[in-house]
Amino acid sequence: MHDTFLLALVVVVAVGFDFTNGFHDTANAVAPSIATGALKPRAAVLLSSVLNVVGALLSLKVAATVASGIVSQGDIILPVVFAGLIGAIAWNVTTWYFAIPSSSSHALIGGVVGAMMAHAGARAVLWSGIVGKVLAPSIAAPIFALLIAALATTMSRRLTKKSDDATKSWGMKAGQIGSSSLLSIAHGTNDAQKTMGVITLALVANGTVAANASTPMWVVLTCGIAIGLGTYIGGWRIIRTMGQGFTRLSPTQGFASQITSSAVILTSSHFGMPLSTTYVATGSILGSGLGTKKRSVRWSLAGRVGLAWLITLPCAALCGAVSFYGAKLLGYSLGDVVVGLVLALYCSFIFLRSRRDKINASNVNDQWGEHGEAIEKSTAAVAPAPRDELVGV
Amino acid sequence: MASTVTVSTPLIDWHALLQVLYISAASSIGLVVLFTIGVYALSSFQHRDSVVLYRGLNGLVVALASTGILAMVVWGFYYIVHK
Repeated sequence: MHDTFLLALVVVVAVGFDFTNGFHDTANAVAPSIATGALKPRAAVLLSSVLNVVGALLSLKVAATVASGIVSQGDIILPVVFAGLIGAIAWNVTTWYFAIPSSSSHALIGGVVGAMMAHAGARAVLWSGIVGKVLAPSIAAPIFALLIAALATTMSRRLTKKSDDATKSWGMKAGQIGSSSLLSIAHGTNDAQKTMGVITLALVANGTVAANASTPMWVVLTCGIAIGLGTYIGGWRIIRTMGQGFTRLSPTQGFASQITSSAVILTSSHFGMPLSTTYVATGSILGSGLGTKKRSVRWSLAGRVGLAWLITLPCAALCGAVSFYGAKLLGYSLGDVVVGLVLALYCSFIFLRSRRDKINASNVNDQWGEHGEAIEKSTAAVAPAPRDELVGV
Repeated sequence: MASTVTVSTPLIDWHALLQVLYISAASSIGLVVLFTIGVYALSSFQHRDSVVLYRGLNGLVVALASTGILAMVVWGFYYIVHK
């Protein structure tokens, strides 16, 4: 069935989701560089946004997985894609407000799965694809990243034990600029493609392109630019959590964690696994904390973030399902417009609430605890210290 | 009598997951160690009181480490884009 109005609506919302994905996930690539002072905050997000666009153009394997491996293409209709995107944006904006580095990818996949279940039941969901291509890599990849980053940080720390602090700090910060760039490209190759996959799914649902068709170039370019713009806006709240919250990052840790994240994400992209870049980056940062002499990590914060990870898929699925039923109740075209307006109102409300404790480029590196974050007594090893002490590990 | 053979695909592609682990571990640790050796050599190179031969050797290590890192990154992208 062709419905140009609904298709246009879906494309607009999908591009909106890609934008939120950009600002939600900026932290993955730039948080360590900003935290250690390797890059100025604004320069970091500008560099990352440009390289995200480059990454989006490099590979399309993840887009193919999302378009064909999550839900049955034969059962998909445009309102399902629309409701899935609405659910994903709602969850992304909520977790951004609470400064939780949750997965945009899981929000997207959860939203689409929830809407699909509301439309055609559980049989229309490709559970083997969800388990094999989404859940398994998402559980395994952060563990890989944590272990590898811990090992890399330990080796780097031991190798540079005798080198002078000034050269080590300068060298590692220079390395961080390179590793941050690599990570931004890696993020573009994996995350921008997920929205490309969803738009392709919408085009298939509308009969605009054939099932299993490749992603059109205009979709690739639009998604690349949207995620780049979102990245440039900078999700400062989450950058703060990742850069200051989990551990006190030194340039050596920052470099090791960013190289590890890049390698895991790029390798997974090569195998077409739509993993969560956020989880990988978080795993690497935690691993780099474990690689220090004091093994300094705020596990209480990591636990809270882990809990958010567990509920991301079901909550986004619930949001997707509720959006689908809401739109269906009013008739799809009118219903989708109303649901879209409700989402816009919700996003505005969250944005205004966030202004009460504004975090931006100027205060993103404030010491942990200065913006009402909890500091537990047991985390003395990660207690704030003057920035000029952040030379070695 | 013709017989049909059913090949079941495993739910989780352990082979691909393990490859992700091996390749990521080798490339991350390789890059970090190579870079760290370069930084260490650079640190020694900057000591003006060290003998000329020792400084030259450190300079060579810095150059080799930089070339190695560049080669690994370029090969990595080639691997991702073309295979």
